[in-house]
Amino acid sequence: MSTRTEERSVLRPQDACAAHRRIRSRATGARELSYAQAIQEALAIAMEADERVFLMGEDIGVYGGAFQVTGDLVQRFGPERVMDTPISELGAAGVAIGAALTGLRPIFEFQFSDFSALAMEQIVNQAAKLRFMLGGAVSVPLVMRFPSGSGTGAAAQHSQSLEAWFAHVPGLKVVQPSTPYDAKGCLLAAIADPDPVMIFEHKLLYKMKGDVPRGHYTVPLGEARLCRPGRDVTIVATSIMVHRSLAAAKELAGEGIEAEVIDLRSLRPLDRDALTSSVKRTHRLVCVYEGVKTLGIGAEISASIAESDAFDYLDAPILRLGGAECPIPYNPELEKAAVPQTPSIVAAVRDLVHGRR
Amino acid sequence: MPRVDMDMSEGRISRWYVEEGAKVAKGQPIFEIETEKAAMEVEAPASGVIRDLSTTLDVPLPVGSVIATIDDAGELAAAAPPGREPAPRLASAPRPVASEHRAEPAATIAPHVTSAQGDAASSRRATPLARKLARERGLDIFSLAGTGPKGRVQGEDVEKAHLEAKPKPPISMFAGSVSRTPLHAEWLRRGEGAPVVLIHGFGADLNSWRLFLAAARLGSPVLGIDLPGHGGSVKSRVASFEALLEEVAERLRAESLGALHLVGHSLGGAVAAALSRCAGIEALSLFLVAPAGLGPKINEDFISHFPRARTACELARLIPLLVKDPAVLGPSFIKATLRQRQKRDGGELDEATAALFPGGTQRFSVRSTLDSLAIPAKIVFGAQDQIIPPQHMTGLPGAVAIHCFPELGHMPHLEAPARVAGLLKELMRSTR
Repeated sequence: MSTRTEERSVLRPQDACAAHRRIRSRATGARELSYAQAIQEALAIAMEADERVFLMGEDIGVYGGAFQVTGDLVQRFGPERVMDTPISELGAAGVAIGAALTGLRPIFEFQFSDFSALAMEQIVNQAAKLRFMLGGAVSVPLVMRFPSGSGTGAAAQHSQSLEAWFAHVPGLKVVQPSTPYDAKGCLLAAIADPDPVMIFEHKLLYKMKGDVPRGHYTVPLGEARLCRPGRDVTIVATSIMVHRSLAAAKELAGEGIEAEVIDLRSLRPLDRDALTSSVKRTHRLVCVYEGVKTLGIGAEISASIAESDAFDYLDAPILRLGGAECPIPYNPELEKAAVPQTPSIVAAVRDLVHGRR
Repeated sequence: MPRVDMDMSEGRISRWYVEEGAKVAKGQPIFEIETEKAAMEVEAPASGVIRDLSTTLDVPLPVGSVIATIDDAGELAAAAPPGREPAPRLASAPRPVASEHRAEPAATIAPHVTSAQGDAASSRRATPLARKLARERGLDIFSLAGTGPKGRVQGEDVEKAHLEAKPKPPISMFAGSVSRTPLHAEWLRRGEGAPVVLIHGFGADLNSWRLFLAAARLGSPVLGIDLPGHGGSVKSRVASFEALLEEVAERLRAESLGALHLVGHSLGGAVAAALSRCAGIEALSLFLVAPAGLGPKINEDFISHFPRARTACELARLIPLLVKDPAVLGPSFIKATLRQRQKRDGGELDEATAALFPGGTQRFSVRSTLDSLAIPAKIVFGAQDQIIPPQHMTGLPGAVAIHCFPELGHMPHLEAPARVAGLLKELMRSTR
């Protein structure tokens, strides 16, 4: 396993600014791409650079993928490297792990993250364990991509956020990029990583646009990103909740509440240093995530802070805003109500900062 | 022994106003202390009965040493209805008078910790931050009133109690005797009419206005002031924005200037804005150049490195952050800054950074002041500002005039002195 997390320094506001400047200056012409286009570009760059890299998944070839992420890659790289699989996630995951063990670099797209349940045995009992059980003699350089989350009217079996399940398993890396820039950088970092990496992509983000540099670059797996500094409260969010939290922070700024927003980006490894250093400055913490609230990533973040030296700096209870304790409903209004939205984040943060919780 | 002066390490009790066993009310003067500079009265921090009174007069005692305790047992026993939660019992432990937080918190807090009332302590509600602050300041957290839900004591409650526990300088009785070194101020121009008060930014001093003044040719008298920890005011240290503001206000009140125009740059801009609402300051207009206090961000790279820069090379690296055209702050600026640096340790600016901009965040805000401003005001800033993001200058009330120079950085008054001065004069004319 990489030891990058241990060596990482504490994230501070100026790091984010400095990193942003570096990116801007190095990028030879960043331009606007959608989140889906950014992923497709990363796939193409990796396939051009390394012929061991190939794609697997249901309907990713001629159809271009359920969310059109692979698009026309089959025309550029041929059906042997953009491989349509039968409707058997368990079987295909076994093939992917075998390919990775024998030296290839498979990238497996699950049609919906919900279907990861079908491949649980291969992911949890094989991919995550083999390096440990064989004393480091092998590794499983496998990348899995999962369209996830609610908001598309796809109902209970196609709308879940299951990332916390997998983040519980040592041996897996679990990331949730929230911007086109991170989508490309995290994917290229995942492809270069010697161990299995699971990337959870929110379906509502695929059309979101943002600046993406041309060429190859990586975003380190396991580093949180400071999106907005603030002095009154820290909001730690994942995936699409980063954008809802930023919208909430903007609204709260009009009321004189300055919220700091941190994009966690990676569930495992978890950037605990970034969280503790922020909480020490703001004295309040709110976790916002789409997965079911109970036993979700918010529980781990809260416990990390309670165990850390940041505990002494808390001036209010830690708050979790997560998904409701129910399957995602089909009714559009109920679907919205089942996960945190900007107004509910605003109301909760306001109450917390004003000492009503 | 309370600290009543910034440089004070010990004080002498010159007289007691009360005797052992006397009943005192909170706020009542109980003794007089003498430092090297002044004599002043200290008020009782709480009501109760004086115990363990130290009778030695005119002997130097270190700041933080316990000189008496106030026992509030009798009062609480009478006030507490029977059958209530056992919490108030804890407060029956003697409470030290005016315990000073930095010197010896362990000595003064000890009686409460060892009072064997663990169950009572755990039944009281206080946030971890409040407990930590109380520990550091030597305050008994269980004697404080909590403003949080169900009476929870929060960080703010401890800070408030801490401020109230500090003896206030008895201005009315000792008029003229100043408890701390007053800030350095200097008349930069003589003239007619309402004076202009100039307040510089972080890391600068009143001399930073000279170039601007040369271009401005104002007819009014001009007073420059050095902020605490800056220029000629290095003896004062910065504990918080509020403390800094109070020191500046005090200094200006001492000048009896009457109606005046407030001009501030960056940190000084936030100070000027806040001053316009201070008692005893009659502001006619407010002119803010790249002001702080309008949003949370500040360039931490600059804020943390500028105070420590000791060589021309280090300073030269930071200058492009201040101005769009580095030639504006040329070799003479670098030389003058370095000469200043040689005279002091730089610790005062580090303290100011920690108090005002911890972790690259502005701790203070003057937005609410601007929202209810009743005098004409202008804000001037450069769109290329790399110290304070120009986006902070948005969302301000319509009555405040905003002037954005697209090609300038953080120091418009030095980058385009004539144009900025023109705007200042326009503002001052509008108040006639």
